[in-house]
Amino acid sequence: MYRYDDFDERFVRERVAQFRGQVERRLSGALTEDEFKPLRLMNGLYLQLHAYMLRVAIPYGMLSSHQMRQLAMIADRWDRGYGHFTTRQNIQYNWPQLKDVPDILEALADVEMHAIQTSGNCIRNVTSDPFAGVAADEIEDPRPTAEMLRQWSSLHPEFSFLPRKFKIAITGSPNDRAATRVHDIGLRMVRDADGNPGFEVMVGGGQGRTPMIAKVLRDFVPKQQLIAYLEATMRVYNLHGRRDNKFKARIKILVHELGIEEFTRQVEAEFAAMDLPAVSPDPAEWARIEEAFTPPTYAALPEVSPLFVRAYETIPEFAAWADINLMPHKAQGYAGVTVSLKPIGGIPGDATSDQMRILADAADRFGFGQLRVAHEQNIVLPDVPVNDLPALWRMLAAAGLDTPNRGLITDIIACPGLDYCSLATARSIPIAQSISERFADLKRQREIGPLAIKISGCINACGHHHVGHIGVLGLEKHGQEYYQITLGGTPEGDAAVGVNAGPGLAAEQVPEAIERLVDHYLNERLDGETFLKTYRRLGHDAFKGALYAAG
Amino acid sequence: MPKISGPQILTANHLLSGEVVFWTGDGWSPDYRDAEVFPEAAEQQAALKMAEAASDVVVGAYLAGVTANDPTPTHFREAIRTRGPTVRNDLGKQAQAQALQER
Amino acid sequence: MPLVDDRGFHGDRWRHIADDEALPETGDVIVSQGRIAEALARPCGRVGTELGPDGDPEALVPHFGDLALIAVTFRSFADGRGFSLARRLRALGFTGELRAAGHVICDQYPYLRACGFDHAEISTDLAKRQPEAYWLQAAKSITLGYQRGMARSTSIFDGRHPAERRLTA
Repeated sequence: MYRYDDFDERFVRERVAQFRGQVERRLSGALTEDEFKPLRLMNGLYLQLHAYMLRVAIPYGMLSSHQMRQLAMIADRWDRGYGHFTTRQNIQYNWPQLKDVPDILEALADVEMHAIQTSGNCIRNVTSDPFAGVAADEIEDPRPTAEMLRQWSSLHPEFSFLPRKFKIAITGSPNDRAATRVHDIGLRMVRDADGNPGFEVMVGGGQGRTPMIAKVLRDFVPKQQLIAYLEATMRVYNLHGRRDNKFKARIKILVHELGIEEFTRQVEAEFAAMDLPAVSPDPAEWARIEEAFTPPTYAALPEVSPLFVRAYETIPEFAAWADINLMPHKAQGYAGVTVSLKPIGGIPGDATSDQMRILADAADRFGFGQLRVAHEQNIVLPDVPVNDLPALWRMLAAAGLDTPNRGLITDIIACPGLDYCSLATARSIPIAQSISERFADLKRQREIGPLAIKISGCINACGHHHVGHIGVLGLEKHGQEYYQITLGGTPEGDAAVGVNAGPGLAAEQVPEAIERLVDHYLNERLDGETFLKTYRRLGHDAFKGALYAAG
Repeated sequence: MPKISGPQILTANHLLSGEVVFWTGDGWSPDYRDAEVFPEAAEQQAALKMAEAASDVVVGAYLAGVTANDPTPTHFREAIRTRGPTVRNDLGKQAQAQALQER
Repeated sequence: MPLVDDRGFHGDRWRHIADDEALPETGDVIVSQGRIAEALARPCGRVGTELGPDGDPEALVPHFGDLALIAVTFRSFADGRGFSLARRLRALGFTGELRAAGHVICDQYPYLRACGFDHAEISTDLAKRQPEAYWLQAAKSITLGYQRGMARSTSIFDGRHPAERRLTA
């Protein structure tokens, strides 16, 4: 994985010193709260419902075991012994004190981490496929480009005061596990006719109160020109994105109001006027970063592991976990492992400091000391020898990290909601917990098959409800929480925004309503049909009818 | 934020610690039961102005609706804020209250 | 209004002349774009103009030879259009003085410089809250940046490959 050189190190240390100074100036009155707020946000520090919240960047979701241990240490020393992994592959601490934050940032810098641009109207942490570099279906590893984008976007002098936040996602695989089509810019790795690597650039996707699927801006941008092309796109947005209305300030609105043709014309004009050699990183720099992602030296392992087969045949719990939580690996004899942070009835995405340390140990013992955060709020161990899976499973089981539910109905995405978030209109976590408990039976979960429930506690959609097969949106009316159900969303290849099914439900009605949807699907499905496929075949009204059927 | 009507208390977060605090009439308390209830709009606005001027101590001050003579917030959001996350009873003000009870 | 640059605070030699105000015979003046010709017709004194956040840098290209200064205005420090306008003006070939005028804060000073501004013109009130020492400190707070093609001497991307740079330079 990428390691900081002296430049990166100095850059991050300077940021820590700068933030320390900003905190001091805030306390002395030299900075007003209005002026301090965007500065603290650019270092990931929010003021939430109960306390400050610090969001730490995990670039493209990649962590070393060493870094994971430091995250655990920070949780113990300055927070309340846990952290929350987010849909943007970051980690959030819910209880830091302002006076400690410079020290926390210093501790992060010690392990080559930071909280730069995890908030604010700037280019946010670049997200990617949690199986990048190991997935069997990959065209090329997207992480070198993601790292290049991390560096290029860090404290970009021109793009640190944009109309609104800006999220970039990148995938190297035709099977999009990075939700690229619901990002401000989505990058999909492709090759041109001569086999040269480049990107399809999509723009104007997003969730929030106006969900939109991204449109294609350019079907091929050569890798060497990507930075310049993004600068051109960002400049058009920075100059012309709306600043009169916060809710209309994202690039998706600009693209929508101008039309993709006119927006494309402006970007291409800007790009044509650009001095490409002056703006683009040197090929030697691309090569340097790419080298950092050289695959680890995989052992020549046999295709079949007798140890795995024996455990699989004799321990049903292990077999279920192996069926559900493994991902094919490009190297023979290895597997990608999803460690679910969705125990039945638990808080989606939360991990205790002890669990973080166990995950770090597992990565050292059974992988190459690497971990990933998936946008589904799970942890991935990317390179585990199949032979070691039984031992890994035992280790995880002892820490409550063995829930076999990747992609199943209890693998629920949920934002922190009104239990933590000051923007939320309703709680999300208790809804996730009650649904999870209702569908706790694994046999039934497996019978239902892939079903993504995604819950947001407000219209900002951090819980990705727009792209849930079943989305749940928490709202408030007359001092009561209520929940709207959307159907048919997905962030994947044929991305779609879910359709609102109708009147909202009280919290206690939600699990039953979802059960009616599931029952309808089970009754109506054809052989091998997933929930989404059945929904698409039968149409919205059929499921809407089931949702509101008198119980 | 709900529309302001009826009696209100003044709440904010402590600048340095981030803790939720309530205006008691002569200082800030972490306990909503200490909060001063402002029945009239004029004094509510005056209190809010005072808090904005005290930006070296607290941030994000706003008014929260209560019933007459009782500083318990009426809105569920504010109620959660006086206690802590409903999904983690071991955290926030509710945890401190519990610890005091057990002592 | 105080000016701030790499060396600290200065008084302003330039005067902003409102549209309904008579032009002084001499002295350096900043006028609206419509009055550039009128200001140039004076016997002596340099001429600058303002470019608002909605302004079109291309429209100023014909005047580049006559203008000694362009003041790009910031209505709020959170409105970052001025940064892109400065880069455009520099890319279009403007070599005169580039001023950031309005609400910019000291933390933005290194960004302003990197985008091609020479100095900032700030309010007296802000200068009181953020005195000279803060600006000088802020100017030094970011010594490194990754981006290339900016108006600053170093890019980390270049610093890593000094040999290659020298060959192509």
